Amino acid sequence: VTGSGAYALLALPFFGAVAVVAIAAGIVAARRARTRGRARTGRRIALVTGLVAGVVLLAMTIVFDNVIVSLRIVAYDPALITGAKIGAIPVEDLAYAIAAIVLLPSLWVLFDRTVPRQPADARPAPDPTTAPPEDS
Amino acid sequence: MPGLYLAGLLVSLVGMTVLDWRFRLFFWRAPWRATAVTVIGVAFFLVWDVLGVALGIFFIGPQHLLTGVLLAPDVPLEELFFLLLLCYTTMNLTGFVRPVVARRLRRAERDRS
Repeated sequence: VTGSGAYALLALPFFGAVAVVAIAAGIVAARRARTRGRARTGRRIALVTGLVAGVVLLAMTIVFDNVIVSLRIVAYDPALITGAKIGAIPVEDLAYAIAAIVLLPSLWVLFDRTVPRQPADARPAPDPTTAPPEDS
Repeated sequence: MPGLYLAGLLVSLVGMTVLDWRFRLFFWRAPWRATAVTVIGVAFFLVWDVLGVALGIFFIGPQHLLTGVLLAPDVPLEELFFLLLLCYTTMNLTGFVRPVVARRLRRAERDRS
């Protein structure tokens, strides 16, 4: 991989892997939700959560990466990036945050081994300070 | 000052841990599940880093802030902690936002029906 698209192209196989995991998580979550008859709400909650948390994560990434690039902790070969920048950072840097906000919550869904004793959706939203651990 | 970047990352990770503990967002919600997500996440991004370095896309700049300990050529020890922070921040954020979104969407749905 050479040329100004190298950094952008490098993200493609990783985005592909993330998409596969996300689709698997979507299928698993939909199957679980169907047994409780609330698949549509669950999907909307997951999507809106991803969007809101994703926007916050992108903002934090832009600040953080600008600091470490300005301090020259990391540097880029100008020939291998598109040259589109946000402050000091190449836009391609955002690929990490985009992958993270899709991949990690998807893995979280796939690794859920708790069997709900009652429809989880029927419970009131737990107070985060008193929610019991889900692992045993 | 060598080690300053690592110190900054560690302070940030402590902050994430305090938020996780206080609001039970990730490790304090499901420790084994959180560990599995973190290990796979960090490994995934390390592969991405190593490929980026191998292709010559990014590398360590001319600075005096790193400890100098390398995990691989142009992959500093600090990168491991950076990726931990990326994963922890992502999941703490998700854990914090999700109940808020869920409450609002369910309330909106109840109001419609």
